[in-house]
Amino acid sequence: MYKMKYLLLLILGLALLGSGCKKGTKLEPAAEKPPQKVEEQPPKEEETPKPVQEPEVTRKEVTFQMIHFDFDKYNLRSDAIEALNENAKVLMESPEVKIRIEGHCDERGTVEYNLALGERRASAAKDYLVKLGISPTRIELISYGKERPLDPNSNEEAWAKNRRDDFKIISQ
Amino acid sequence: MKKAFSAVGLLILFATGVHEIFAQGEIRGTIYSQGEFKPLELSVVKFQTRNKSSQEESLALQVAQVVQKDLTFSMFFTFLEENLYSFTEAGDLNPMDQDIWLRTQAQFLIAGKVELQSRMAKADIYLYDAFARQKTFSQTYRALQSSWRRLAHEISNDILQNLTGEKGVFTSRISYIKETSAGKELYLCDYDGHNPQQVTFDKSINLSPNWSPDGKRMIFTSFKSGNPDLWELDLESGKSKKLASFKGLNTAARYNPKGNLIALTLSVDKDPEIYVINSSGGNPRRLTYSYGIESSPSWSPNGKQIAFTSDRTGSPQIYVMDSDGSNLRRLTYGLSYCDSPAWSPNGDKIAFVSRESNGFQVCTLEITGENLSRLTDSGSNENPSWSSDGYHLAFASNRTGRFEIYTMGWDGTSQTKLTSGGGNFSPAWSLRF
Repeated sequence: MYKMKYLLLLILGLALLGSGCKKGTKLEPAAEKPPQKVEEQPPKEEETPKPVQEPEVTRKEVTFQMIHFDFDKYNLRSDAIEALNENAKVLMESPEVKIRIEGHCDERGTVEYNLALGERRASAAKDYLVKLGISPTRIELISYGKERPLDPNSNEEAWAKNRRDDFKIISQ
Repeated sequence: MKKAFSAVGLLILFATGVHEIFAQGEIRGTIYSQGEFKPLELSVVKFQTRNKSSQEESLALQVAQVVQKDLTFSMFFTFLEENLYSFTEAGDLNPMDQDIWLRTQAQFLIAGKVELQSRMAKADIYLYDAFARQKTFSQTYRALQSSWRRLAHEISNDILQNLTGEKGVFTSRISYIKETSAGKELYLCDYDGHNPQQVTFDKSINLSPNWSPDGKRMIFTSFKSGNPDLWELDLESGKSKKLASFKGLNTAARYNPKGNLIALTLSVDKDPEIYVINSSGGNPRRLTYSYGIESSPSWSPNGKQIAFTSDRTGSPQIYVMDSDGSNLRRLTYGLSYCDSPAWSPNGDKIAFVSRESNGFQVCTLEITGENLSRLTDSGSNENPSWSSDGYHLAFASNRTGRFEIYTMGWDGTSQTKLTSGGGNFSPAWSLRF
């Protein structure tokens, strides 16, 4: 029952996301995958309100696009800026939503450097959103470095997927 | 969590030290420089046993094998396979035993006698100068039978010190991170990979372990309360506590040689920068001011300088500064991407990783910036950590397809895998204790 509703909401979210997309903006592969490592989420994650408990019918599902980075870089690519513009729109339309930006890296390089790199990536996205007028108090940051890859493989395709910022809703 | 680490019950109850030490310290300096170093040749005279039981015989063989492996690892010695026997009951060689003295080509002989008394193992060890036919060292060792490896490592430490003046690292340990089904946990093993032991059971992501200089505590970064905070684990009690939880990163933490300060990366002022905090976690002092990433501090052995990684020029490179942040200079040039500096205990070199076309490779560079040596060449190799004598490095490598912990000599020789099963990272080599 729970699962079905979750799935329904996910599909709804994907549909909304798809319809909101302009040319060339592709659906992020992560959205298609069930979160595999839910059990590894920190305790904070549990504070996220379950959509099931909300009066579901009328509420518009809030979703955010992931953004991606080049190897060892934390500057925002043009595709990332496009996605962030969309994310900013969502944040403006839902002023009660607070998010956590999670910075991630590919597996190359040390644990320590990648934690710092992930922090810079999350920070770069936050700076941009704040510049667009989103209140900094609505945005938390965390870096997972290379500890939580979306794709565990060791190839260019996996690495490109893993160098990312995830946008997680922490309250709405 | 259960008691994580208990002192090994090794009792040296009786010791007769012949402290006329042969050529002590003479070798030091030669092994570590480019000159032609010729290792000393040693032979083992098959250890005697008291009761001739099969248990004793097998223990005697095992102790001799570990001693031989340890001393070979030290890089000061090679062993000749001479198959020497003594018929003297005591294990103590007779200067008149022409058979041994004429047959051996070695410079020194190790003889011994092993005995099992209930659950205790006892070993009488003798060291001989084969040219002078003289005993230069003898000592009795006792340990719980289950700690026989530790007993053998103690013997190796003493023989090494007796012949070279060097303090061995055979009783040191290596901590590392192992990926488990529930997360990443802290493990310890002996320097040779034996006796692996899980010491955290957090079901979280634990990273970047570092030893306190007295070997009693470890610090590491953990996500177990959400944020990457700095935690301290007391190895005797097995209890851990949060040491620093500044907003953002609390990562890459390293004790200074005195153990009263910790250098680490914090992003409390937004940018990841190098700070120093007290070993109790308080009083942060910021050392670096540069846009971008500053990470992975490593103290010089006198505690007066810190090497670290910075991407201030656009790519990660190794820099050195005084421990108050002054006198900053760049160390690495001509390499595209350098990280993970580890200052050698002798003070003269920095080991680090360089990103090459075939992956990350462990390199060393003298502190003057000269004499770059590449020590690894296959797979990706990460997180070099020096042994306390400065003659060896532990590192993680995925050359077999999975990450395992390895050790090697300071010059890249004798690369040896310590772990198995994959998912082993971030070795940190303890001091001696």
